[in-house]
Amino acid sequence: MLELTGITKRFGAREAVCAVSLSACAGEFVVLLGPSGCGKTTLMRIIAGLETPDEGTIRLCEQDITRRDPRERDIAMVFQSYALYPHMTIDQNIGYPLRVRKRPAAEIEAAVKNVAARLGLSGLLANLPRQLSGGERQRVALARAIIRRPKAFLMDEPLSNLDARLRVEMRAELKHLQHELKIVTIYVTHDQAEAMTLAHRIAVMRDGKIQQYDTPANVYHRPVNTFVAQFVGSPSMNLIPHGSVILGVRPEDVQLSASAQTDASPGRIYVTEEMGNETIVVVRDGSSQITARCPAGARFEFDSPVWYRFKPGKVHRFDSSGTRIQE
Amino acid sequence: MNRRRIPEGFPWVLPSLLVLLALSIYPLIYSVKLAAADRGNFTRLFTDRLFLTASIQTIVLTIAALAIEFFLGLALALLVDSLARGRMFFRTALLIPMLLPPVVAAVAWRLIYNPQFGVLNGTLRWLGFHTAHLTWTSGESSALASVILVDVWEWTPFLFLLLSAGLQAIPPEPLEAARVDGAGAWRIFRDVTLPLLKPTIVLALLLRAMDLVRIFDQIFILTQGGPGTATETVSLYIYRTAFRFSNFGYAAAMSFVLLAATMLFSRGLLRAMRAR
Ligand SMILES: Nc1ncnc2c1ncn2[C@@H]1O[C@H](COP(=O)(O)OP(=O)(O)O)[C@@H](O)[C@H]1O
Ligand SMILES: [Mg+2]
Repeated sequence: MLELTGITKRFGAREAVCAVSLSACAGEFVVLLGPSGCGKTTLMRIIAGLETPDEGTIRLCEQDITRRDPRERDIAMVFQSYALYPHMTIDQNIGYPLRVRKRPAAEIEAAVKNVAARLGLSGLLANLPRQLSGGERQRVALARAIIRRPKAFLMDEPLSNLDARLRVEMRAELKHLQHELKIVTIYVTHDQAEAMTLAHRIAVMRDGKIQQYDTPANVYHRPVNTFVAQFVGSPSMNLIPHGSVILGVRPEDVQLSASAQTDASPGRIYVTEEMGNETIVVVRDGSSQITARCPAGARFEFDSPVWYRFKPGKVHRFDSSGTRIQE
Repeated sequence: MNRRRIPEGFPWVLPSLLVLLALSIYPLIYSVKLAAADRGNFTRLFTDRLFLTASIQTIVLTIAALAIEFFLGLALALLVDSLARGRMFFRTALLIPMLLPPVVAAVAWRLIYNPQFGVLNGTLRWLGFHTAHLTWTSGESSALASVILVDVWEWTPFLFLLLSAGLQAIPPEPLEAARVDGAGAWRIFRDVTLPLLKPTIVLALLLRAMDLVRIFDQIFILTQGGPGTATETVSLYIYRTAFRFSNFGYAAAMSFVLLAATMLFSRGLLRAMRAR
């Protein structure tokens, strides 16, 4: 459906995207996840046709579109910087892709009303972009992308400027919408929770390279290296050097008890964080810190002694370079 | 008590205030006095055929030169903006006409236009054209067009420069969004570039128009308003009335009409541009 092969993009001597190959099936929701500066936006711009890759090919619906002009690709994109038309009202901004395609005015008006209602923008249609808050602008950018039925959606951190509550709401709305439209979507984020909840498959990126491309479950339960292991999941996976290998244990796989146990190691409580539905406990053992996720109501005093152990079968092993050791 | 006090900084601005009073305000008041001394100065305007001819020619010249310079300047700005390299070179090269003193440029053009010895007709003859009827500035029908051509040559770079800077100031994101939204080059230009360039366009047209309605030096050197009255403009007529015929009152009256017309025109332009 959408297939990238060996995409490389250099800016001067710097490789922003490095031999990226990625394929998405029809209707699939793919999330690109990575820290900022890892080349996510560049990759999106290449798919949209705003940058030409130095190497590699892009195929969409069985056609090579690598050298095609953006307007002939039939891809809709939500820009990280919104890229609204500053001189057009919100109404005109959202309807623009349809106006360019010379659809009848009545159809455009109905479509604009529909998406505006969906994204909670109905009251703002007569405003100009500069009169809107960051979150509102971001929703306008989203509305402008979903008003038509393109061959693919590209969304560059479309929820990053919303407040926490609205972000969760819009996340659900987006997921449902994508399920309804069944249009292949490439979604960029640096927020692992967003990636886990939205994606059919996650591509974890670092320094322009894809580290792992797999289902959320596999990325979470079988990370290929320590970078993926630490980037996905919150709080991060504990990494404990152990001889020539590195042990990785998720906080929920750490068990604590206040009394001495056989096969448990002693430590001291460093800090506890009540989250309401759970409690995050940080334990110090010598120079290393171990984070544990405990049920709500677990109570520990600062600096009190505690014994921790790892759930059997839940320990990941990485070699000294950080690569997963297959059992 | 509400006693009005002299502002603290007053002594500091006093010198400039005096200069301004002496060089700007006093002449203004004096010219009002001159023009108003004889009420006939204003009534005469309505029956003066030469003033009417000069006004019409000033309007024709302003609109024609403004239109040509604007479209040429915009086309050049878009062209140079779209170049992958060499922008700096073209930007500098296109400015050369503007860097010449206007009088020097006009004298050069008078030589170029000379029907017998000028470069223009010489070149045309060399290319095999008949040039006997090409009299340029000395022909009744071609004189105004020749003057317009000189103005276009000299001032298109100014519009090019302003519009070029305006184009560069447009953020790239909306243009990219339009490309992704499916707009072709023309739609992007019409729907995004042009509206975002509008403030620059208004400024450029305004500056140039205000300059054109009081055009003097080129015409003075090229044709002196002739042949006959073919290139007579209001400013030239004012000059002649004041300094040849020493009728300062009537000249002052005409200046006020020119000033009022310029202000009305500028307001009209601003309104029209803001409305859209
Ligand atoms: N137009 C450009 N010119 C030079 N370097 C660029 C350009 N665009 C991006 N880069 C560089 O490429 C790298 C990746 O950038 P980007 O794709 O924006 O990352 P992300 O979206 O993941 O934060 C960054 O180091 C950035 O500085
Ligand atoms: Mg980015």
